[in-house]
Amino acid sequence: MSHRTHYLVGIFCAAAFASIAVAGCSDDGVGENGSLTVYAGRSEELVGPLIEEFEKESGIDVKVLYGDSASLALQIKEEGEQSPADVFYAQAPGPLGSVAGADLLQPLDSALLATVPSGFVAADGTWVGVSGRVRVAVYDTENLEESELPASVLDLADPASDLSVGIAPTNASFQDFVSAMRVELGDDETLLFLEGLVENGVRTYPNNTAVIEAVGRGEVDLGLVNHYYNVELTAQDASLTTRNHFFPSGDLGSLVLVSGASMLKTATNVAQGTEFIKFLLSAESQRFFATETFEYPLVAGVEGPVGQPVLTEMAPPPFDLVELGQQLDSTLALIQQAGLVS
Amino acid sequence: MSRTAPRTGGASATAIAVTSATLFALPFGYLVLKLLAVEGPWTIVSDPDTLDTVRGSLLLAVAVTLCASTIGVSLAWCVVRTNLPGRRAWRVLVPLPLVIPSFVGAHAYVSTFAPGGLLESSFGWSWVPEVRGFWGAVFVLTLLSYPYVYLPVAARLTSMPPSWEESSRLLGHRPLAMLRTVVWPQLATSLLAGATLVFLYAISDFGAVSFVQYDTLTRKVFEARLDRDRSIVFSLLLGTIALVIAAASLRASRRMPNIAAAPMRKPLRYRLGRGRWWALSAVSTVMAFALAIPIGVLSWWVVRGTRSGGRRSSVVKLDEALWSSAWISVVAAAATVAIVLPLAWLAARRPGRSVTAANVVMSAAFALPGIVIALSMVRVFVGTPLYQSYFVLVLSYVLHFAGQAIGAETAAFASIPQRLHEAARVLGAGAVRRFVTIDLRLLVPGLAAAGGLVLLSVLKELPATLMLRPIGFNTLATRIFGTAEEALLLDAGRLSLVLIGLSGVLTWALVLRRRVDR
Repeated sequence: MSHRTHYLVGIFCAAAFASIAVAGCSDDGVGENGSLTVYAGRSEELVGPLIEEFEKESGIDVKVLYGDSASLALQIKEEGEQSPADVFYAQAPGPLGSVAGADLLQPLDSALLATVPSGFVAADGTWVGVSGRVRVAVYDTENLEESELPASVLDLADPASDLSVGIAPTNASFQDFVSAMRVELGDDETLLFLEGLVENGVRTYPNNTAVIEAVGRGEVDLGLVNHYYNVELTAQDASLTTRNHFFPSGDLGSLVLVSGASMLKTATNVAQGTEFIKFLLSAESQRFFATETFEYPLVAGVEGPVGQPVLTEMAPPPFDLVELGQQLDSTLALIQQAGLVS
Repeated sequence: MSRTAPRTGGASATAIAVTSATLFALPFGYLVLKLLAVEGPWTIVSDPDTLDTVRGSLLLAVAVTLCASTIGVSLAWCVVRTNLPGRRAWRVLVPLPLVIPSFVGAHAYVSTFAPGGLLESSFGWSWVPEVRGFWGAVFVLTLLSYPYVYLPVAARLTSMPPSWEESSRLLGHRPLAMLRTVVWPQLATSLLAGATLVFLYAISDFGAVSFVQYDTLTRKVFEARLDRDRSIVFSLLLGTIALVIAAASLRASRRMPNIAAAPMRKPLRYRLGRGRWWALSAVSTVMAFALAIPIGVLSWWVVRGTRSGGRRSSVVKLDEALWSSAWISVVAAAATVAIVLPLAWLAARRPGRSVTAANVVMSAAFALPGIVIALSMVRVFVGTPLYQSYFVLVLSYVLHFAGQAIGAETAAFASIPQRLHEAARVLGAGAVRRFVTIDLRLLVPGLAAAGGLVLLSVLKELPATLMLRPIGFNTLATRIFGTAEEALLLDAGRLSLVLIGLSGVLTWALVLRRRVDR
């Protein structure tokens, strides 16, 4: 090794250790109105700009640990009473229910809970829905006519159906959809539905993006996913001819699911946390969800996502969303029993 | 060639070994602690479904190990010991697939080979087999993990004294006989070390098996992670398999001949004649699959997204993620190499029972799911000022990846001829001086190789990074995860290409340039 390389390696190491030192001492700053620690199961790519806006408006310094909702729920449960988190903002009801089940969440301010329709709030008040996504069936316009689209998601398990289906059985939203079906139709019917899908040659994928890509390739006719993935993918690839099919209102296939925010029992910055959740439910943030993440606002008076069908009534499911979280374990077992994941 | 008589070492040796073993046993201890709270663990273990999954994991790991060993050894031989055209370029390119995060690699293969995928839509090739299920998993994992075999075997082939092969030839041995009697015994230790890593990598992979929809223990640990009982039992099964494999591998390597190095001489190269073009096409084919396809698909995401005016995330700061990835991986690699050093020295010079135990635990930790390592660190450090600091993050990397360094470092110590030490002692050099002037100098290539493996793993590590990082710290891997998750494929593609580029530059600068066979 030449002397020059030694020199370069030396500089690199010095810089690396300087990074540790600098990073170690800096950024412990507290905003003029205090600070707040958020564990967010939504990606920074989506909600980062919103949180920056909140910091600017409120003068509160927000530290966010981004991750995936289920792992963050595990982390909070492992941290227990020592958790540095004040607020847990999750992608879906499942992980929220899991943390609530460990008795780690405190009831939210009732004024906050009243902001959204009661169906989008945990009955025990431990979390509040923030934004809505709708379950849809994605299809390829080059492959299927609109007239060939099923009227109900239940038709897809019918032996007479010749439509092949793609799903992401490990995705939290699919699991919530199955939980909802169990609440609505009971375990036996749900198992029959899942087994019917298997009989009809359902194909499984690791996530929603992969399901839509498979529809685009013609590998399957329909993909059961959340509505906003196709909006994002068609924006990335203008040649994609995949479209969302919304089942008629009231059908389980177009279930409305929510992301939600909660406060930990051990939160040390309760006032700032309440301020933050209030901000997520403000008209401004709700508009952000509609325009930037193509989600449906839950607060009345804010227009829905551009280019997506207007849902005349944002009908909450006719059961307590908390159940979705609490039923997660048995839903996983049922999905497994049907042979969708072994 | 004779090994120094094994001594069981003194009290200090035992102390070092016990300390390392305790440190590296932390994640295992965490799992055992959790197991106590599991109701009826045996019903989960004896479930026929669980047994199926164990069999599926083992089958996959064995198949991947066989394929990766074949490809790794063949590539190493062609690149190091023949007059293959373009050897210098191949030396940089061949190890690179190791850095492709498996979920990115698998995504690329699936979208290339699937019905209606890139090959069918671009060329009308509807006959290409799908990358799915068992064979899909074998295909993807082999292409991503053969460098674990290639790297140590290539290093060994480089440093093997050419005089042996020359003598063998003078004695009239035919090439095959020479391979068997002279070359093979010398390669065996390196091959075994590499193959063990491939096996552990294959049973611990999550990204690829979930993309090709093949069931393994690791996939279940992740996918059932909110179902605590099952994921704990599955993690322990995984840990047990890893401990058994690591112990068996160590035992086998003890029976193999000691190796010798002649680092100052050029390795013997065989002239292949017209065969070199065959070799070239074989090497190119492997690299087309292992590197060109993933890079091609990632580039396609970028081109397609840019052309369609797709959205680019406003929060991704490429330079910041690049720098974070670079320094944290180098620091973690250096820390790992240093922490492993005393144990490697003991393993080479005074292998005793406690040293062996520490060695096995260290290797097996590599196969534990990252999320288990991370949660055990949460348990130990939560509530202390060290929680979510760089210290704990680096420590988690050390615990997870030290198994990749111990083999190469032990081999490095073992290859230092004892007679040099004896000569130096006779000449009056003290212990410190002998260490600096003899050991360190001869160790450097081995330590660099060990560090290189750790570095590449850290660059793509995700679960522990997500949980244990100081808030606000982002690496290329965390950014790739965030963007791919939200279908922002333009960004995911761009970041993955940068990650592959960075790995290439770092391994070249820190590891490959040092080799003597320029």
